[in-house]
Amino acid sequence: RTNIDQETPIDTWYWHKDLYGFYTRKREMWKERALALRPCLLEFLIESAQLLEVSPIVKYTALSFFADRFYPRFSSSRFKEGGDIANWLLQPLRESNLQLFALVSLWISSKIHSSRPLSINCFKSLGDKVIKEQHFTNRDFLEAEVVLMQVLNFEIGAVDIAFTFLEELLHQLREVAKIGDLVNFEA
Amino acid sequence: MDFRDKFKQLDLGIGTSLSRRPIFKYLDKETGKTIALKRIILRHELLQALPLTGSSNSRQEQPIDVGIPANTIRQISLYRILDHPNIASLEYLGNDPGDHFVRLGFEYVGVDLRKFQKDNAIRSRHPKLIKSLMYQLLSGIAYYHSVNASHGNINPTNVLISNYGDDNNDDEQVNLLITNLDLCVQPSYQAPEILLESNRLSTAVDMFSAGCIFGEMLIGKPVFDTENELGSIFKLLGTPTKQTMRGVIDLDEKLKKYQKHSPKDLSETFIGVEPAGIDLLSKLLCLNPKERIMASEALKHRYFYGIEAKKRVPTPAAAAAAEVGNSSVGPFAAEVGSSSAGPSAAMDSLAAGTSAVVGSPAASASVLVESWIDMVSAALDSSEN
Repeated sequence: RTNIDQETPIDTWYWHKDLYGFYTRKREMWKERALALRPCLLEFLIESAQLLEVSPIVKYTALSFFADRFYPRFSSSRFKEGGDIANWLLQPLRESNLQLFALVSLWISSKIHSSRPLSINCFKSLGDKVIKEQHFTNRDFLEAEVVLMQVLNFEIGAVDIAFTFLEELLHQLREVAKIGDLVNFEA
Repeated sequence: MDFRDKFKQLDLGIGTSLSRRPIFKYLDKETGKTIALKRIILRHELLQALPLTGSSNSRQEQPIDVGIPANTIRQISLYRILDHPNIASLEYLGNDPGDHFVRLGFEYVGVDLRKFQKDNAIRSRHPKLIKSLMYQLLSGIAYYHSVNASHGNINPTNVLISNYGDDNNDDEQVNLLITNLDLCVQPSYQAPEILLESNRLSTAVDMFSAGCIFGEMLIGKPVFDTENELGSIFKLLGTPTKQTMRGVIDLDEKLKKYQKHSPKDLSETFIGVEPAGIDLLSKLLCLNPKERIMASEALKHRYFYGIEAKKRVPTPAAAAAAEVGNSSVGPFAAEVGSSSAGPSAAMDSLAAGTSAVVGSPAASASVLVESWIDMVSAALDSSEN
């Protein structure tokens, strides 16, 4: 079990890349940096979901938005300086900014699935507590939400989450077999 | 790419939106497709400033700082995954200048149902054509319901008819698309439970609207009045009583101002329609949403015998479901499904989910599903020992 603090600091990556002469390739590095942060950001998202006590489907939808759709777009050319989504929230890319986006993807997914979505204040107060490097205001959250939607190109369909398949299967298992009652989602 | 570079506005407007703006068609310069735009609000702050239609109460209840309204997010999330031959696809999605709205560009082909009926008065009454169109309409609605959504605004302006040209007399070829534009339409095609302001709405509201459209196709004019919507509904279908509409709403208060009617025989209003059609119509126009026929059941109604075999196009959903069914559900069903629910049931429900899968997540999802099945079968084995 890794801790956020135990993760390799970003500087190590600079040094490592320099050794092999990749240092000048800024975009490559940018991607590397984002990838290096990925594990702890995913952990951050899951821990935040637990603190906010959201339902499993909200958590997994947010994971899908953040890990499967938001993250892979870092290689796209739209992010280069002067690209159409060169927002200050994404440049420079810091861990704290990405943590903000992790929280925002939780927010969007709670808007899709909960009949009473979590308010911005929940996320704001959680953000104040857990994001240490930087302080984000309500307005930053609102802005990040729009930026996230643009980055995802509004692809926020939430039916293809693996969790929904599992839930459906469990539902059917409960219908056909007694053992289904014993299986539980420890989500 | 900028919207103006990509699209060219066409001259003819197609109607007025609920916020009293004219809606135009646009031509995609590259692909040559025509789209119609729908706007949904992105910045919630704007709602307070705009005199939009809709109930003012619901707006005041919401706290400020909600960001992008949940309703907007749900709509986008839904339209992104819809993929069905009878549902207009989302061709364009982008921001309004100023970021206040999201623009959704829906495919727009042919003409809407009302214009179709006006221009082709005789042809549109042809029973075979009505049957084919109804089947397509209901398959579209069934697809909506299969992804746990409801359309909520089915009316003739949201039903597009295409491929009906003069030289094309084959009724089987006429195509129907369900779109979702906020056009003003009179009278309303809403179900009685919406008009009675019930707070327990379900997907059954779409079925009532489909019934209204079916009736309109059969007699060539709207079934219910423009002025007194509920009154005319009750005049045809009878005033609801505690028995016929149990548990939907507290009726006594709301029904005071309506005259008492008893249900009429539908075959007297819809003369010359085959009995199976009358039966389907009565099931669609059922007052109680809980007893109203479901879309998937309606497709199996005897009215559609004969059409079914030809019209049933294998949708991507079905194909994907079959694939998943072969690879993972098969062993699952064999392992557990000795009792009631067979593999077909599992496949049906999977079809709903699989249809939405875009690209790479499909693979990961099915892998996950498979590993989960291994786990369950292991659990089963251990319990038997």
